[in-house]
Amino acid sequence: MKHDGLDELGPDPIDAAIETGRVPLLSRLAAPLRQRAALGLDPALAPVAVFVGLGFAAGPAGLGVLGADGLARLETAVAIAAAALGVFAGLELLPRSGERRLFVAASLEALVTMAVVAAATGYLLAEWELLRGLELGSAALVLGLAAAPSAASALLGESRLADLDDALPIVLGGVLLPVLGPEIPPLEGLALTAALGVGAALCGWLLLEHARDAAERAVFLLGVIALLGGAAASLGLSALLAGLAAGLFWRLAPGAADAVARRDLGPFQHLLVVLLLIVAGAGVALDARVLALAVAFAFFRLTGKLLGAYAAAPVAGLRRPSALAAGLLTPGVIGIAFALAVRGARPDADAALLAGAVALGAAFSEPLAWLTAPEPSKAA
Amino acid sequence: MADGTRAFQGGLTRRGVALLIALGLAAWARSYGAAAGVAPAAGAAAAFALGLTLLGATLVGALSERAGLPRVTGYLLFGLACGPYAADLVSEDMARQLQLVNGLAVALIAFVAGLEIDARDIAPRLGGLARFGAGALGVPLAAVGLLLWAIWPWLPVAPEATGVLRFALAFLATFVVVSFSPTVTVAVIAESRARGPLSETVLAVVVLADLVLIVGFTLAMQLVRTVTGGAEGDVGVGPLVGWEIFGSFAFGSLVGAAFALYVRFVGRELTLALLAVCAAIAVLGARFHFEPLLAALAAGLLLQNVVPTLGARLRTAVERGSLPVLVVFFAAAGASLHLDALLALAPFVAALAAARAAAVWQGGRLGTRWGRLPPTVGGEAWRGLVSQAGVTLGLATIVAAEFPTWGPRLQALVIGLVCVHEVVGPVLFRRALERAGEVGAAAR
Repeated sequence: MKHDGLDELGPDPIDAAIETGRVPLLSRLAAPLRQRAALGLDPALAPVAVFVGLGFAAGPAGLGVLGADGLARLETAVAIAAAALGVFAGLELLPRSGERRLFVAASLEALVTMAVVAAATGYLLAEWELLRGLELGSAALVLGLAAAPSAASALLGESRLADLDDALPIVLGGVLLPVLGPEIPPLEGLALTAALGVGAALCGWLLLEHARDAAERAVFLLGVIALLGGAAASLGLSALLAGLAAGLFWRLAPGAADAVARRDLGPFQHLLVVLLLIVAGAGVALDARVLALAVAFAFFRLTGKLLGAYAAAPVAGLRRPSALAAGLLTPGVIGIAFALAVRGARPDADAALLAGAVALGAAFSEPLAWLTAPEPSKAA
Repeated sequence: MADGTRAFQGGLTRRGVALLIALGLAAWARSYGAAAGVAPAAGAAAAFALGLTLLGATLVGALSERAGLPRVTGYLLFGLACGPYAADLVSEDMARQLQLVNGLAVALIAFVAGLEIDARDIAPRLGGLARFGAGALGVPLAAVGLLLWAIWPWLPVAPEATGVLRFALAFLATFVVVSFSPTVTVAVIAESRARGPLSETVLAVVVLADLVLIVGFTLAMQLVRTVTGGAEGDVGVGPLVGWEIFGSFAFGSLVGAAFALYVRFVGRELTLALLAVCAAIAVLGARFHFEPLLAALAAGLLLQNVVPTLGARLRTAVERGSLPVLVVFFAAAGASLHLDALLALAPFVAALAAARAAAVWQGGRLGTRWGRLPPTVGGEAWRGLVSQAGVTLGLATIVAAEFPTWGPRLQALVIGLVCVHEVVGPVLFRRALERAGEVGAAAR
């Protein structure tokens, strides 16, 4: 018998994590979660659904534990979290060698998803007469942009695609947001946001590598992120785009500012994302309009991701579009951050409706994502 | 040597340029927003102020350290310079938003103070410390109390008060005016990386003296309530004081024990966990009428003295967590200083500040004799008792909220005093630490 030494290594850890054979009903129901965890499709326990749900339960429409005052205080974290998410996207943005096709594919996939969701929800918004003042095209575009980002998985080949599909929505969102809020012309808004991000990044670049100790470095980093996020949000500009510009600057600038930012921002990232999701959930005013739009958002996002995956797979050189689509279904927090930014820049009923629909829709998308987890043998 | 000088100057230039960029961005954002008529949401404005404060105050604090001043003074001056009464980069609303960190900061500072008090070290010296504290606290209480009673008819607080009411109001004001600042004491010791008998003596005396002052303040409040007829239906003074003091200690010990279990069995993300514990003490303390300062102090004391191995593990977490909180706390305090109120009350503020400083100095001398402290410690310790900050402002805020007719006027006077003592106190204490040779000893 041929002995290749693999037996000595024991079973494959992924196979070991995914039970086979007859299993009890409860285990079978939990199998998709374990399967996703084993595949590195973090986080395994659907944080968007969990924390948006928790936020809703604690918010004014739920138990009221989190009142208007508490929510207003937590809004501070939203601007900072958006900037931090933008920085992470910026740090991961530049295609590594041989990834140019992947970048084009990711942008194509995001564009198709945006187009599908914007077109479908735009039709529904008009048909159901949901808007009270916001232009139909802008509202549909907000939903399309919020639907495009995906959460990155750790092990699958699609993870880089999920990293890269954030860039286009962030840039387009950065153009749209100033128009919706303070009514700044698109190009001027884009230039202002980029200048803000680069200015703050320059300040951070001068300081991050030369801090006295780790505590001072963390203060500098948090200060830069809060300054660019807060300044952008105060002016009705996109904190996500300002963060993306800052992340990109650090990536391109000489020195190790990008590595420092990636390492030191990591511990704060989870906390900031959790706060963002809780604020998103707490801000949902549950009524039939929001619920209907959220269901439509989740459904058309699924459709858009499938179509986007089929369009992008040949460009990226991937042979199984279905596996790609399954890997991209988990909603990205960036979409929710964008919807919250729209609500912040334009505090009216329409923006609240869109933000609520995006938060709930993302929470609905998450179970869809883990029910359609790809089989490891096909995905590998 | 030349390389070292070049590196120093390079670092200084780099930090100076970074500070200018941060200030330039902030000024541009404020002016562009005003010109475009954009009304920022409260959360966004708070994030903006937080970022500017963290960056700017930290840089100015580092520059002031190079100029031989405490970092805390730099944080305060940055807040003052950027606040609504000067450059207005941080508006009044933003400063108020930043003060949300006050509860967390006070709890964190008290927690750190508790971690710094090693009962085994202090126990042999407790008698001496108590006698020193009696002098250092007793003389200012007597002197300031008498002065306040004497000048009360001219003080723009409640000059119409006479007899028992005048006595009660002066009694209450005395505790507020004399109170010390564990916050500044801990901050100056931490940022100077000081260790030695002077640091330990000042810290222990400030913490113990503030305990006495808080108890005295609670009693004085009850006296004023009784005299003004506002005590009807209230809980009696005994149960109230008992609840605030012993309840706070019990609550703090419970939180400290829970945190010890977390450190031992989970041990991850200690900085975030520490901040969460301090936030919980601040929020729950306010809700259940505990004194957060006492509760957090008890939590720190328990960790340091019951499970000392965990206290050492927490040191890094404390260093990481305390810097941003202290920066924001002091910069927000600087931004909130009402320069106009200070100018209007300047003569009274100057007289009271001088009287308090003289009384603290004389009290320190008397305490040194009573406590038989070595002159190198006792002769310098009074300089560590001059600062005033969060506790004093907190007490004044309580008075202003409960007695809206004359309370805000007392608050304005106290704010003026805090303005002076916040700036002068840390400088004096840092000088004392330098003269005692304790600066940098903790790092060594």
